[in-house]
Formats: sequence, C-alpha cells, structure tokens
Amino acid sequence: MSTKEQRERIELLQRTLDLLILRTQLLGSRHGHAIAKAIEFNSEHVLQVEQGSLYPALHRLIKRSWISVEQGTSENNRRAKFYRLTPKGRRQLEREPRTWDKLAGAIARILRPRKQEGKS
Amino acid sequence: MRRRKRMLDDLDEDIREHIERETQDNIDRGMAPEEARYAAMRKFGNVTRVKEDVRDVWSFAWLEQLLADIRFAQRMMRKSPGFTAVAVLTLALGIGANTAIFSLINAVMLRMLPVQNPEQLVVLRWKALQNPGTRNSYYWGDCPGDDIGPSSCSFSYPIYEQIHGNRDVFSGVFGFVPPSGVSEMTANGQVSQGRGDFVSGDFFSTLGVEAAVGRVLEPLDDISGAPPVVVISYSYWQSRFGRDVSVVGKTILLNGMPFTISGVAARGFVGLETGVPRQFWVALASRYGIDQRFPKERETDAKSVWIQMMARLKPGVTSKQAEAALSTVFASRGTSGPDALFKLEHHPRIELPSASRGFAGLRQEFSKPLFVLMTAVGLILLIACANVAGLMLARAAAREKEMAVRVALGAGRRRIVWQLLTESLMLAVAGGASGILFAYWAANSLAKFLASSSEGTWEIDLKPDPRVLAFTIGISCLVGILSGLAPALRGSGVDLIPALKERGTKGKSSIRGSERRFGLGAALVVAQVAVSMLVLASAGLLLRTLVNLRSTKTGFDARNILLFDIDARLSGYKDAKLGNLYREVQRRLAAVPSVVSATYSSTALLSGANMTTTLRITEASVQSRVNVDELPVGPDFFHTMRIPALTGRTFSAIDFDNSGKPRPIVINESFARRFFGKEKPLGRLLSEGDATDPEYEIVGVVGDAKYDSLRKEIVPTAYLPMGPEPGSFEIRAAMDPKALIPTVRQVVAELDSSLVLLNAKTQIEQIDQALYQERLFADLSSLFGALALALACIGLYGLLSYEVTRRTHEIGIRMAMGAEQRNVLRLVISKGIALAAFGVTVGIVVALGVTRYVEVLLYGVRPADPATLICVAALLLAVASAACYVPARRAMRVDPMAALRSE
Repeated sequence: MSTKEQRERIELLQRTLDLLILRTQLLGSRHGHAIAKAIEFNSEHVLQVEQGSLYPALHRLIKRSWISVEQGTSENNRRAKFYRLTPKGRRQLEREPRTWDKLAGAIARILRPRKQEGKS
Repeated sequence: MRRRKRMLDDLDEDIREHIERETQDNIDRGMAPEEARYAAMRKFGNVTRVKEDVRDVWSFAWLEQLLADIRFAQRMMRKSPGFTAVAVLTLALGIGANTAIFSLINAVMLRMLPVQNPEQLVVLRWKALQNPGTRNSYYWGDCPGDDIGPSSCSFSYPIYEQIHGNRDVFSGVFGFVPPSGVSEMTANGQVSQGRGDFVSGDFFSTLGVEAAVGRVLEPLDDISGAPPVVVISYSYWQSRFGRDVSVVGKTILLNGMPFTISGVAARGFVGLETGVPRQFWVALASRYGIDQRFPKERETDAKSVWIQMMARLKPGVTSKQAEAALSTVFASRGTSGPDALFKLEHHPRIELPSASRGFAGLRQEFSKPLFVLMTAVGLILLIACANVAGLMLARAAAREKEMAVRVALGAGRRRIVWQLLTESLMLAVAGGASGILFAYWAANSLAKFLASSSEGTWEIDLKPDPRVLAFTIGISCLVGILSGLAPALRGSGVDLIPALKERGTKGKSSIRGSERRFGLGAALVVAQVAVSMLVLASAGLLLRTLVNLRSTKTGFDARNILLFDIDARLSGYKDAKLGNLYREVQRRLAAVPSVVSATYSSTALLSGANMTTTLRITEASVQSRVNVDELPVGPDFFHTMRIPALTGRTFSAIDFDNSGKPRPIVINESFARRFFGKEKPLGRLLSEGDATDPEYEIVGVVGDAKYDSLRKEIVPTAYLPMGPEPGSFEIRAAMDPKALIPTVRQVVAELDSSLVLLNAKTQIEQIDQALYQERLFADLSSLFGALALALACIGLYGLLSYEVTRRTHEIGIRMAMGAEQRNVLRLVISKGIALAAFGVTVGIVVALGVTRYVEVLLYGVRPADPATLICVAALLLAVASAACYVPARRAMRVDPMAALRSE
C-alpha cells in the first residue's frame, strides 16, 4: 500500500530494464522486437516483462543519449528503427560495475521468488 | 523539442511494427493467425499506457497532464452547476472569512513601522520593586512589556536629558508625549479634528522619516522660544490641501494657536501607534497651550514623570547590553539627591522592549479578539473542508464507473488521484477567488465596525499586501488538498470488475464499497457537527457574557441620561472663569422644563477613563496609605445619577465656592467598609499623597456605583467637589434624552456662541460603546456559529440524501414487505440524529476542554456552563433533525414498485 515502497520498486524495475537493454546492445544494434526477444532469451524466459514496457525504457535511454536510434531495413526488408549503444551508454555500462552488481543482486532478489514459485 | 515530436510521431508505427513481428513469430510457431495476433497483443500489454509512459519520458508531460486535468475539471464543474455552486460558495465563505480576519491581524499586529530599519527601535521603560515617589505623573497606557510589578514608560525631564545625550549604546534617542486627546485643527478656515505627537527635535532623524515636501522637525525647533512649526501628515496634506506643494510656510491653527507648516511627513508614516494615525507633529518646546498635563514650571521637576522615550540601538549592540548600560545610569540618577524617585533597594532598572511595530495602540485592544476570531474562522474553514469532502465523496459514488473505465483504459492510480485533486483544487481556487472579494468587503465592514464603536478616529489600513495574498493562496491550496485528498484516494481505489460489470450501485461488492464511503462520510459529518458545537458553545458563552454585562448592577440609573462635553478651553476659558462657566451651564440646564436635573463630572461614568489618588487617613490605626479611585463631580451629581446617599450628606452649592481646607469629600460604601469597618467614617480627615496637612473631611457615604468599566469590581472611591477643570455634563431628562440635544445646544449657545457641543450621547450609548468588544464578540461569534451550523446541516443533509439514494432499492423492499411510511421515516431520521448526537457529544467533550481559553473574555458565566452547553446542544439537534427530515421524507415517498422494477 505504501506509495514510497511502490515508487522504489518501480524505480528499481526501470533501472533493471534499462541495464538489460543496454547489455543486449553490447553486441550490436537491434530493433525493438529483437531487444525484447533477446531479454527474454538471455534470461532463459524467466523475465516475462510485458513487451510494451520496453518502449518507455528505450525512450528514456534515448533521452539520456545512452543509445541512439537510426532508420534501417530489417532482415526481411521491412522498415524498422535500430537502437545502438552510444559511447556514453557504453561508458555508463563500464563505469558502474558496482551499480551493476547491486542491480544484478536486485534482479536476483526479484527473480528468485518467481523461480521458486515456478518450481513448486 | 523536435526530437521529442519525431519520436512520439513514430511511436504508433513502432508499436504496430512490434506487434506484427510478434504475431509473425507466433504464426511461425504454429498458431492460428487470429490467436497469434491476440497472444501478441496480450504479450505487449496496455498500449495506451505504454504510449502515455513514453510521453511521460519526454518531460513536459506533467504540464500537459495538468492542463488536461484542468480542462477536464472545468468541464466537470460546468456539468454539475449545483454541486459546483454549493462547493464554491462553502469554500468562499470559509476562505473569505479567514482572509478577512487575517488581513486585520496583518494590519494590526504584523506590519512593521514604515521607518528605516524598524527592528533597531526600542522603547525605554523602567521597572522597580516599588512605585516611585512622584509629585506629578502622567502614565500613557501604551507601554509594551509585561505587567508584573511597578513599571512605566514615563520618565522625568532630568533623566530624559541625561539619556537623550547617550551615544554609547544608541545611535539616536528621542523623547515624545502622545496627545491626551484630539486637537482642533483649523486650515483655510476649515476645522477638523486631529491627533499629534509632541516630539523632541531628533524624532524624524532618529526614525529615518523624511519629508515629502519642505522639511521635518529639527533640533533647533525644539528649543524654548523657537518659532512654532508643525509637520503635517501626508494624508492630512492630501485631504486638506490637495497635495499643494505651496503649503510650506502656511499657517494652521492647533487648538487656536498658530503654527507654521514646515513640511509634510513621508507618505505612509502616520506615527508610532498602530491604528491611531497622527495628523501632525509639533516640537515639545512649542506645545504649551495645545496640550499639556501640568504647569510648565513643574515639568522640569525631578519628581514629575511624563516624557516617553524611544531609541535606536547602535548596530552591534544588543538590547541586553543596552539595558545593562542604561540601568546603571538610571539607578544612580534616580536614587540620588533630595528629589530621588526611587530607593536603591527597590532596584530601579531599564528595559528595552522592541518597538519595531510601533506602540500597540489598537494591537493592545484587539490582539486577543483577533486571535479568538482567527480560531473561530479556522474552525469554520475546517467545517467547510469536511463539507466539500463529503460532497465530493458522495459524487465519487456517482463517478465510480467513470473511474473504473479510466483504470481499465490504463490510468495509473497516481494519475487518477492527481486528476481528482486537480478538481478539488480548482474548486478551492474558485472559492478562494470569490473569497477574496468577500474578505475585502467583510474586513472593511469589520474595520468600520471596530472604528465606529470605539472612541476617536481609528483607522486600520487594509490595503492588500503580499502577505495577505500569500495567506489566501496558501489556505486555498491547503483547502483544496484537505477536501480532495480523502475522496481522491477513495475514488482511485475503485474495484474494477464489479464497478464495470454491475451498473449503478446494486451489486454486493459495490454496496460494501459505498458502505465504506458512507463510513468516511459519516465521520466527516460527525466532525462537522462537533466543530460547530464548539463554535456555537463559544458563541453562547460570549452572548451570555454580553447579557450579564448589560444587566450587571451599575449602582446608578443609566436610563434617560444625556452626556455631552464642551471643551471650553478652546474658547479661552481658564481657571475661575472655566469653573463659573460649568456652574452656569449646569444651572441653566437644570432650569429647562424637560430636564429633571443636571450635573457634570470630570469624566462620564463608564467611559473607560478613571483617575486614582493616594490618600492617607490621619489618626488611622492600621492602614494609613490607601490607593483609591477618585472622581471630581459637580453639584447634584448623586441626585442626577441616582446614586443613593447612605449616611451623612452629599455636596451642596457652598462646597463648590468654598476653597478652605479641609475640603468635603464623599466616599462610597466599599471605601467605608474597607478602611473604617465598623468605625464611623463621617468627620474623618484625609491627606493627599505625602502631605501631612489634612486635605479632606469625609462628609457622606454613598452607595457603590461602577466608575470606569462594567467588568471591574467596584473599588473604594472618593468623590470630591470639582474645581475649575474641563469635564462632561450629565443631564437626567424627563423625555427621550436624544430629543433634548437641540435644547441643550441652544442653552449653551445663549451663554457663549463660540462654545461647541461635543460627543453628545446617551448614557446607554456610552455603555454600548464601552461594551463594543463584547458586542463584537457576541455578534461575530453568533454569526460564525450560525455559519458553522448551516454548513454542518448541509453536510448532514448531503450525506443522508446520498444514503437514501443508495438504499432506494432496500427501502422499496422494506415497503413491499409491509414497512409503513413512518418506519422508513424513522429509519432515516434516526440515522441522522444518531450522527448528530454523536457529533454533539464529541463537541461537548472538546468544548469542556478548550472553552477555558476564552475564560478571560467571559463575565458572570463559567467556561463549562452547563445551561449554555445544553441549550446549544438542543439547538444543534433540533436544526439537525430538520436537515434530516427532507431526505427522510424522500425515502418515505419511495414507490416500492418503481424501486423494485429498476432492478
């Protein structure tokens, strides 16, 4: 019920998502759907985020100039937006390993109950 | 900005693209196209919400949202004009009443003097363990600081001279004497009344007030024999001279004496006393003839205290340091020599209370009333908030479906709370805006009432300033949040499925929801009733105080008495000539057929003014020095005022001619009882002050009568034959005393056509004037009580109406099952009365706890007076039942068939 707690949790989720997106792009530029798939795949289908929530996160990162966006054509010749990690975003990923660890821990904490739930 | 627009423009396409890809993936996995698309959409989540979140990312979103919320709130306000009108009116009354009282408080208590660095100004005040042995004294009532022990702001001239030169702790000191009353100002042949301070030459330079035109007073103006000059106030200049700059050098008459205008004081500076503006300033040295307390030669006497001082602390000197430094000077000067005022063991010392806001003036009189009123209007505002919250809560029920739709469309809870808060804030802002208009009107009429019912020309400057505006905006926002928060939180926590699925309010779960809402609404109503009980109880106590004071025993007969003054000194009457004039006016008036008898006295009874003296009973066994009230009276005083003579005699004509000693004196019963007990007072001799010669011989004892104030217990009082000094006339009329005024005017004019009748009023009017504060309290608190009661009843009515609407179906069933109309009526009314009774109980408990804070304002009634509380409770319950009756009757008229059919 507590709004403060709620806000903290939302913030945590946002930052987690931001970092997941940044990480998937270490390997190269991708379009939105591909990023969603990558997150899903990398987390072994454990992280079932609503795909829609990817978009606010993408826009947040663009606004911070951690990723850039360019128009392009996808593998099957369709027009698509490609998101690419900027040098600034890369620095961000490298500069804060501790934040990264903390967030990883947080992700673990968030994910663990789900795992247990899945097993039981 | 452009990037933001491009990003948002593309968003729709991006999302479509994304869903198509997901659909394709699903089809590839072997799903049917239809199912694949549905799964993709489900996986994507709430599209609207995603779009909104993305828009949020691009900053200005909150502003857009706010604007949208405001537009929507406006539409909602227009859509239900009745609700809007009631809510805005309620809030306007609440906010307006608060703004009105606050602007008075601001004007009277908070504003600083419009001078340079007012925070450096201090007043000089002495304190000692014993009163000084003065020969002559004039104490001005307006001396800041506590009232513990002997203290005053009046100093002797020698001490003033010594401190005036002090530049160790002060960067400036000036002496001044406030006026003893209004003066007659004659400019261009036109006469008006005004007040002026008599000040030392460095008054303006110490304060840092400059001249708008010409020059201010200078030290050279304050030496004996300097040409008499006057500085006039800006508003006097404006009203009398139309801001004519050639006014400098012109002559005006002050009480008939010519003064040359040296300049006009800076705009906005009207003296040092809050609410009592000055029209002129004259140097101390040239004030003789206009206003003086005792003969000029006695003023420089070390044992005459009369002059006040104000000083500016040197930068870096604290008032504590300055107090220490001055106390040394004061103690050594005041305790040495043959004319010592104090003894050293009485520890005379100086205190320096701050004068940054000037002398109390009105503040002294109004600080308590204003805070009591502020509390009352604060309570009213709380009721108004609770009321509007209740209204919004009831309306939230009607909007449950709207909220459910919003949530279903993806609105977050915070978003909905914000939107509902915007609505209540809009109501509060509308209320605040209309409240300011109401406040402006109310504060002005209140200020007028205050000024009219007190003596003299009081002026309260109510020009709106940033502080008042900030206050209004502040409380409007507070009110908006207070009244909107509960409904907003409740409204946003809507149960989605049942609210959407079940239309109206008939579902089980939704009844539970509205039951909760009823609980909150009921709590709000109970709070309103409790608070209005509190306000009404205070009003009741203050009303009883007024009634008690009005019916209090005065000891004299106030009916059919006409009072008036003639200030004969203006027409040049002095000494014996003045005495003869008073005697002659009295004799001629007594001879008028419709006059029963006529007399005069130094001041009229119950005018608020009194004189005291120290008498010594010669050959007394126990207590020889006594402080008593004294009133010089003219012939026939006791007969005219119908104060009964108990033993001995009262004054006869010969007592006024005879100047031999001992002079006859009449004492009141309290005097006789207190100082003579069973001994016979007649024939006893009294001396005055430190003198040893017997000054008076007691010739009679009269009944106790109130002197200056109705509230004050009657103290030992001595009446003496009035010598040649100005006073007030009292006439007992055989008819309506007011109708006598033309006759009186004529009689006086026949004697001397230059004599003017002043302040003609009846004794009853005089008492009303003395009671103005009590009347103000009684009137305003009754008004506020009525307002509180009305608001609480609107709240109760609203809640029950909502309750009846909600339970129409249930009532229909009850009636179909055979319940009679009166049962239904009772069902509703009993609920309302139960709430009201609970509120009243809570109110009584709170009242018992807090009414003692108004105890100082009460007279003849205890703060926890049971009769008052019972009467108020009965009144509240009666009015509350009436408020319940209307919705109850609607419930009674429910047509069972119609109610059931609507299922």
